[in-house]
Amino acid sequence: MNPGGRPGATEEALPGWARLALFLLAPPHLRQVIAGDLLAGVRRRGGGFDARRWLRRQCFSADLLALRFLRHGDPPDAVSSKRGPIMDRVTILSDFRQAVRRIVRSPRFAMTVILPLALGLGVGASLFGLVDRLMLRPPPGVQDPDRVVRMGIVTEGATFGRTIASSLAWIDHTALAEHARSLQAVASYFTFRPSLGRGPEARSVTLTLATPSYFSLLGVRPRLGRFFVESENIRGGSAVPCVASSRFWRGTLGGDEGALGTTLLVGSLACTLVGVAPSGFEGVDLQPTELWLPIRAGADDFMGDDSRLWTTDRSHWIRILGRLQPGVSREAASADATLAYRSVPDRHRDPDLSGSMVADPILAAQGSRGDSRADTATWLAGGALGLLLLICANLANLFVARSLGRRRETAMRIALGGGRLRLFASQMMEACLLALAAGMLALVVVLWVGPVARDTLLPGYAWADGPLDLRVAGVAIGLAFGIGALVAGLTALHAGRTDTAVLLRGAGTGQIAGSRGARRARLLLVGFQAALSTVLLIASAGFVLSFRRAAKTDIGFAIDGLLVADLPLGTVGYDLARRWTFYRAADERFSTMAGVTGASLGYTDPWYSNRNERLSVPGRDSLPSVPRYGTPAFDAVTADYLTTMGLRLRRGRWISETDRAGTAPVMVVNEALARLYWPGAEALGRCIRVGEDSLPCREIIGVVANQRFTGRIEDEAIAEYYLPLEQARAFEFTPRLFLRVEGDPYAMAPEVGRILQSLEPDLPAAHVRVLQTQLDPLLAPWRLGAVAFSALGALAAIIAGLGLFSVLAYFVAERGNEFAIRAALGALPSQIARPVVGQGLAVVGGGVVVGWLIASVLARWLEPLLFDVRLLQPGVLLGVGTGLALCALAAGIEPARRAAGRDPVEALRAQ
Amino acid sequence: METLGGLQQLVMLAVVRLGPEADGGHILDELERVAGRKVTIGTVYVTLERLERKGLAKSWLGAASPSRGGKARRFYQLSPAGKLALVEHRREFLRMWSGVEAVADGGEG
Repeated sequence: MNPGGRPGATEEALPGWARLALFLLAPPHLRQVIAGDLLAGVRRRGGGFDARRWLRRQCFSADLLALRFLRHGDPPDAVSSKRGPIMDRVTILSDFRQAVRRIVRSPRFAMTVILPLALGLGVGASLFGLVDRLMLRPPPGVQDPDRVVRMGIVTEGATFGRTIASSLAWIDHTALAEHARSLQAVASYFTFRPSLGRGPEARSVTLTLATPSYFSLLGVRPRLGRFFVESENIRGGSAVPCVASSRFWRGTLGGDEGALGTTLLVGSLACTLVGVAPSGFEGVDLQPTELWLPIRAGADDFMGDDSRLWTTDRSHWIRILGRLQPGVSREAASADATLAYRSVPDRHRDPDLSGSMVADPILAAQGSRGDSRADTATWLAGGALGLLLLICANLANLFVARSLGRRRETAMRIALGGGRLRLFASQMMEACLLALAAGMLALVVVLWVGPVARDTLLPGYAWADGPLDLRVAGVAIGLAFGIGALVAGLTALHAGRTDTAVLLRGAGTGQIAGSRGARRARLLLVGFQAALSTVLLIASAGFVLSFRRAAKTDIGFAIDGLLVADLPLGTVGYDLARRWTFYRAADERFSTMAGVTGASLGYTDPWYSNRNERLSVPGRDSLPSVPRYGTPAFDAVTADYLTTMGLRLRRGRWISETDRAGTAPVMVVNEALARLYWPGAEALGRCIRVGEDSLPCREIIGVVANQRFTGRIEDEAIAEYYLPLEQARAFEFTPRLFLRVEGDPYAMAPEVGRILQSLEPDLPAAHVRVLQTQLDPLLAPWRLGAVAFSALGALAAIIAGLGLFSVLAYFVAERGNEFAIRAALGALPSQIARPVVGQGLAVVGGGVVVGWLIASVLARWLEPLLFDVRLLQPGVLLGVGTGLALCALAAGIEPARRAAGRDPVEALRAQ
Repeated sequence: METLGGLQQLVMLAVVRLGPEADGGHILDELERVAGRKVTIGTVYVTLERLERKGLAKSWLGAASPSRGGKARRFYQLSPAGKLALVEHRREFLRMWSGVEAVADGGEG
């Protein structure tokens, strides 16, 4: 063994694997003692091969692990004997071992349980993550978020009913700060993306202009340095302070504490970094803020040096937050704020002061304004829950089938005094293990599905965190355990009812009694699955039809290949004249460029920003207003605009090069405007005065088809009008560049930006967008609904089909002899097969009808989310029904073939 | 009167036989050498813990020694209650065995 007593390696210390085993298995208080015992034992055994084998046996024994659960201080009787109470820790351990063994022994069963559950949980948890971020979680870093409110102005309109605006005017801030006693503090902010730096290195940065009260209202404390104070909130101060987010500080400034005092060139302002916000706090909106500046110091950069910003309500540009006084409700604050709102008499947008103010929760999606993305996400989470229910039903089905297969084992255990409770515990353990595995796999699914869901629902949003966080993981694992426990519980109760005597008696005959109830239960579960599939598929059809309608909506111009570009020239000190010269030059530069088929200048940024001017028609006291928007939307464009955008001229002529300053003032209107102002009459040749009364009246020279530059795609087109650019200089705006390119506009965009930035030295970062990306968010809810509900529905139908198949196959296997005998007595194969298929069809048919009923109840809430689509139209209902019937047919074919193909001779021999 | 399992009695007897040398490793060896029971160290300690919990045995930590890789030993001793229980069980056992020697002599046949 070990001649001469030469000390072997094992005598000095235990080998690594043994130490690891002890570390993992043995309880801490005995680990060293046992290690010593084993080392001495190895020595006594001579340290050779046998000693190692002995050591291996000692280290990998389950009793070591059992020892860990026998902690000191446990009540003695908990472990006093082998027939202890059910929750004995050693018993749990043995249940655990048994469960692992059972799972390993039937991997196919484990897979059929784990995979659909993981998929359903993963999809569900991903959607939960979105709903959580959109609707449930207050912005990180905000103290006592329940008391933080977001102010909005409510107006009652004849056509659209109640509308809520969240962009407010500075005078609203002043009114609230002065008069609303129920608000402890009021803060306003405005977020935009100016250029950071100049020249080729310049990039856009997300900047929030805020009142100094912003940080204190939200209860945020600086991570480094300080926030800005009221005395710094002035225009044209010598040192403009700025605050960086932690992400910006780490990323752009290298996370250096010495970065305080650094000067940053933001827009036209050189600001000095005075503080860094705490990690995670990036403002209160979904778009994370990188830098904060005092609102008075920075507003000129975006809004222009316009004193009307601060004294009138012409520009609704800020968002206002309030912190409620302790004990004040949002309703009381709303009433108080409405009084404050009405205390400002001179309101351009609401002359008769009919509007009121509302204090909404800080999460935009929870507010009364609502958010269609959040609504869709909620419905999807509901859909995912439906799918999970269906998967539960499927699991229950699988477990019932399995417990039927193990009836004899079960009966034997009960007969031997195993105890139904013990049986229940061991089943529960197995289910929990499977659920845990599914939950873990679901987390992988989240990592995969989450980003897709995010991109579809919130395109272009820079997420601060991954799709998987503690809350999402908690939901996934928690749901997994819940489902596992529920299913196992139900199944075990079912199995526990087994009549032992009957089972054991029938055990040898091949005909097992007591299975009719089980089969009925399983068919019921399949019917339930069919009903859920029906609901999901109907919802999916609704969204697919909506998306098709939305995508086919005539937006009035050809969006493919369109780019829009602008540069924040005001921020580098360009006055209006210089800006116009720049854009004129850019327009000409691109007009002759290869790959660009159209170049023009215009004002309105589709779905992004628009402008209203006062309109009047000589001889009329008042003009009808555009629902939701007040006056028709202003635009000013060059002659090439019509062809660049692909607008369609209906009547008259379009703006030409000859319509310039000094020639007769003209304008083109869209059909919506013509109909609004002159219903049933010709608008051509009439005149509208745009702006002040001193300005001349403009003749309408043309009418174009409605385009949708503003508003939601499902709404009526908004009335709009176009002035020749050269005749609109009095309105003091900066145009932007519109380009139509050949080939991929996404590939062209950076190139266009480079050319723009090189036209003159020291330019700020150009902002080039593919116009389609500004339309996409409007279609996103339907696209998301269509994609996700289709996926959920298809998955549901497949799982239901598989469930039906397994029930029918089991049924055929069980009644095999009966079929064989009937075949022997001369039944035709079709006579044997028909009831098998028929049973499946009947069950699914019943489920479909129940599904129709559920859908008809849900339709009330779902239909408002759809684009003018009726959910309960016959085409959808019948289509879904037929699809599921085909599924049922497909599931029944193979079992029916097996039933009809039983060989009577073989069956009789088996008897 | 505590009921004692078979293994519990064997472990208690090993503790008595080993006297001052009664630690987990030696108990394990004693069970194998004398009773022919091949158990694992984990099983031995589970049993010892249960005996302690019932107040039938007590233990204390001894000194470390180089032959054990510098690890301390834990020594076990029966408590007075443990000795009593063991003696009582022996008495029961012998009473039950008296008069049935034939079974033992004849074996299974």
